Amino acid sequence: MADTIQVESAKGRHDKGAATASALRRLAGLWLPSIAFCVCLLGFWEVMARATASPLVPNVGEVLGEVRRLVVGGFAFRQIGITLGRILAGFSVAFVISLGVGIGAARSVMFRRFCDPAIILGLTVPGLVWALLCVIWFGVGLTTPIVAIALGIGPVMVLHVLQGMKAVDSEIVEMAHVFRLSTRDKLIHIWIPSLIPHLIGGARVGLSLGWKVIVLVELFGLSNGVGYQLNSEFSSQNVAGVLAWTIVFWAVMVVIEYGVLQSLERASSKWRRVSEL
Amino acid sequence: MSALIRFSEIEKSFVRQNSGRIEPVLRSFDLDIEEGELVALVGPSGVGKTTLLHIVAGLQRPDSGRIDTGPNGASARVGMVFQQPRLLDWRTVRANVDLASKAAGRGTARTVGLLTQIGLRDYVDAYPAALSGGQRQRVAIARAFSIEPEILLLDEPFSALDELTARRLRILMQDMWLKAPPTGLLVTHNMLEAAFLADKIVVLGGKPARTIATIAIDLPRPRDPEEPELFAVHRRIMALLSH
Repeated sequence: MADTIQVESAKGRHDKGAATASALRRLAGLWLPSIAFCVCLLGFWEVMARATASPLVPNVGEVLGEVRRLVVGGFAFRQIGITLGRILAGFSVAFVISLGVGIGAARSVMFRRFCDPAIILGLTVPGLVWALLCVIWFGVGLTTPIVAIALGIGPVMVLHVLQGMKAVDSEIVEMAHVFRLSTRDKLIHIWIPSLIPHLIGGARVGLSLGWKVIVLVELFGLSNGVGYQLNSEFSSQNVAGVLAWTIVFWAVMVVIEYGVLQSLERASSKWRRVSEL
Repeated sequence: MSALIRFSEIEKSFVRQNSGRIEPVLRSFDLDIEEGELVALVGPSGVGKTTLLHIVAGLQRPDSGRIDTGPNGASARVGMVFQQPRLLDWRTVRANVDLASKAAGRGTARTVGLLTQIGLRDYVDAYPAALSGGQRQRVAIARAFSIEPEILLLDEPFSALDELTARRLRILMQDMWLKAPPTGLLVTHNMLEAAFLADKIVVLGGKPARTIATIAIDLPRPRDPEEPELFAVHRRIMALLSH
């Protein structure tokens, strides 16, 4: 307690300006490295575009103009909304199934062995194959993207759930047994909290893999969404358009990463002691 | 008084991982613990003390034999304090205690009072990671008493703490125990601790384990950790075990 009080009083001595300055410094530390990367990328691209001077490598200005064309009027967001909706639908199905399969496989060795070949098969088959097969079998309805994404990301997410189940502390499980915690209590207070960091990791991988699958599905079998738009820009040989769609989607994924996943992570780890090293 | 915990004809063997040899740990082991009595099990490492404790806790099953835990049988309220606190680090101190007391049907009304009594009133809503080792173990003790245990199992509860902290917690344990004495089994390597807390010390030895000696500690409570009689008991057990 004494330490805490000292820290507080030290803070009190700072005047308001210094506090603002330190807040600014903190913000700068938070954002500057990422901004620096973007600046480097833009600089590198501009240099490359000028050096090649080819219509196949549009310069930064052209690409940004293309981005503006897509974003103004909200066309890009409508298309991204469609694509994201499909990803989320497929992701949700994969999440529920892999949670069940992962928990089952962690609890029963026989079931684990039964699932092993399926997981390896799932990890081996390229998303392209799932996309093609689903378009052939299920046509152009909502089933195609959901099944293709679920198949594409399920195996990886099962592995994450399995890892999370292994991370559950057996000493805590013993404690719960002695104190006769109900199955519901064990689930809510032990299993899920232990699983959450691994579920967030699985969600991160799942969402990014899901994006790679859905683009192919939309390209082969659907008439809207980012994949379809990418393909139509490609058909009209608009390289800047292809790049612009990629950039806009990247921006959306950044928002999801910082806005959703990292907030979830922070909320679920607020009990952790932060090392000062 | 009738026995509340009765081990009868307990057999337990372990298979050695590397050689595959079967090693009997307990054979025809009998022990009665009276209601409200605290029995300490002492003896060399690997003699089967913790196995006996785990059998009462339901964490291990005997190969054969019976374990009786009083009139309520398997539904007797069992509290346990482990060597490590075994708290849910992602739940507050209060939630850790509430979880156990609710599971035992005792409600959560006593939690804050119990934590105050145990010296953690300022940490009720803290996460265990913010606590020192001794404070965490206090939470574990509060959790064990929050269920108003009929049986209390203590698995080297103070051996991971520094001596000063351990001594404070032993005195605390004695106070808590005297308020409503459950029937208890204490496993420890610390003979002074056994003498300080227990009504009876059972000295185990050999393979398979047998009772070498049973020493009744007839000192009035509350006891003082500096009482010379405790040191006499300590010397006696050491002499028995050094043979």
